[in-house]
Amino acid sequence: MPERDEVQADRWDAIRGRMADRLRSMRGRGRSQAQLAWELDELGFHISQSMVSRYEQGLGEVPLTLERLVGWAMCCDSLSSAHLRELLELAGYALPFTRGDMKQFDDLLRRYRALSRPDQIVLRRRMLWHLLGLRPRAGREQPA
Amino acid sequence: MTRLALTDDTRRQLRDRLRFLPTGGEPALQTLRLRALLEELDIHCDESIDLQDLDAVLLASSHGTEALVAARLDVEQRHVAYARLVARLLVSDIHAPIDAKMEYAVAQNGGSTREREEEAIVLGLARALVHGRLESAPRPLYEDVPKLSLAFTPRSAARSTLGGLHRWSVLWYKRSDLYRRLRARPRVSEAIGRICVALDGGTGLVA
Repeated sequence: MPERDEVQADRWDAIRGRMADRLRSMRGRGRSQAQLAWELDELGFHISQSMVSRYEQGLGEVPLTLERLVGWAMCCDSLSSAHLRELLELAGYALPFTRGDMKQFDDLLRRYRALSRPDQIVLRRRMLWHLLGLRPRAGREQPA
Repeated sequence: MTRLALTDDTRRQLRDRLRFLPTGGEPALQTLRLRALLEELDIHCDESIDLQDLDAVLLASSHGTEALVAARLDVEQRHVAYARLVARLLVSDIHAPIDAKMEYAVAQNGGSTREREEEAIVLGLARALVHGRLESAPRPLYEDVPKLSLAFTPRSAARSTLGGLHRWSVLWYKRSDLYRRLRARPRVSEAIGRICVALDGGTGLVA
């Protein structure tokens, strides 16, 4: 294993337990791991229920990327939560939005929940791109 | 608070260009004009979206503005959808850091009085755009008009009166179906145009 990967692996080992606590808290009791995995899949992430479970137990082997963390929080309607803030801090990521901004994103997500499922998926995927500061590529949107 | 990519200046440019947008032609051509207008203002348009219940969505954030239009729409429906997006941009407040304005296929009855009034204005202005008769909607929606003020000279008093009439017009336009229908009639639009010329003589604000 190249040296930099050892460092990355060691760093992940050091933080994944704390990450797991926050991931569990972020999901809360009202949302099952299966539901979360399904919503993440709809958003375009290939994360199974067993992977959700492993990450929530601190057993995930690959570090969670910024995209996955933000997607995870989106599916938990927790973009403005302290848990996401702490997760990003632990992982060394940052988003260019204030807490008030993130609350606006959560409010909009709640409005999306009132839409039909296919429309929700389209808009949530778009929102993810805006959150990450990217413009969706033409033709990237897949049928829901 | 993060700022939107869509600025007041963009909306002002949209108002300015809209007044000189050619009218007439097939719906497909008119749609193309509206789309080009939005894209000139750096609003990315996408007509390939699989929206089920929504006809279109305007999504604005600090990273850009997108006009998403449902792929299932036929040519005329797409024209109406673009007109509604343009009207929405002119009429609605769009909040940072992200906001989405949704154009539903079926009219929504819920919402606050303010939201219902805003919807009425957007639909009225969109109808005016679709029919190529911008003058059938109140002028303050698409151009600068004199303001109601305390005025003492004959000229400023006339302009102030005109400003008051414009305020009254917008107020009733958002509240009254009857007024919206009346306002859209060619004879009424023409009469209002003549009143504007009489009270604002020579400034070129012709209906």
